[in-house]
Amino acid sequence: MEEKPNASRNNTPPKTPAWVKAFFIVIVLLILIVIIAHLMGLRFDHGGASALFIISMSHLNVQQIL
Amino acid sequence: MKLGPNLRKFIRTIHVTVTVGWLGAVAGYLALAIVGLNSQDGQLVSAVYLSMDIITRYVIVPLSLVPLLFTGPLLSLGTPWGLFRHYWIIVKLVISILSTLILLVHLKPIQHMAHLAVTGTISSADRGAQIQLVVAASAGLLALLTATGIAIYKPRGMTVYGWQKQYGERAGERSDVET
Repeated sequence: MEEKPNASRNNTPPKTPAWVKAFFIVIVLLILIVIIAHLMGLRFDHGGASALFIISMSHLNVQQIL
Repeated sequence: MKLGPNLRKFIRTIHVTVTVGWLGAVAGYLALAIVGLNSQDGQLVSAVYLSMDIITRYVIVPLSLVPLLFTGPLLSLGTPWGLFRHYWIIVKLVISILSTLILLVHLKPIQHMAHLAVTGTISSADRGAQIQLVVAASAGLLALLTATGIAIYKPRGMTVYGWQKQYGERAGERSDVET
């Protein structure tokens, strides 16, 4: 189960693999596409409303507790 | 915390069952969303959105929360794999968190469409919301397929934290042998 990278034999920390970098670039690009689509006026109103609803409810709950 | 072999197998069984069930439920949800988008039969469209609301609330949401909050952390923290030692586990965690967040954000449009289905007032003005449900379900299915593939192939790559842990444990073992 344990990996035995060459780095561990050289006592140097392993580098981030290329597939991990590619994954995070894809995630950032997807988030940017969603933001741009939202700014261009595509319909995300119900989803956005839901997110705001969750945030506002958590805010209300905190106020009620306080 | 280390899990015994029997408990580990039991939790792994729950984890695999729930995650594959989540994948299957999203596939069924996508099929319904496509039918809801393309069908001209009003009764069928109403039935589709009511079904999607029920499937989401009682199947997909519970199936998404169990591996994210319980079985996933238990399996990783209770075994030598760890939660932050290998990149593939971190990537799976990120996919699970994003998928669940997107699902929770889309509960509102699903409920909105189900409400319209009950009142029989679905119109061409709701086309955007219908397309949004198909796109979200497709993205969710793709994300879950990716997570399943990563879990099976376990691509190589150890984090600096994981490397330090493994190197430290080996150094400890060596010093134990020498003394």
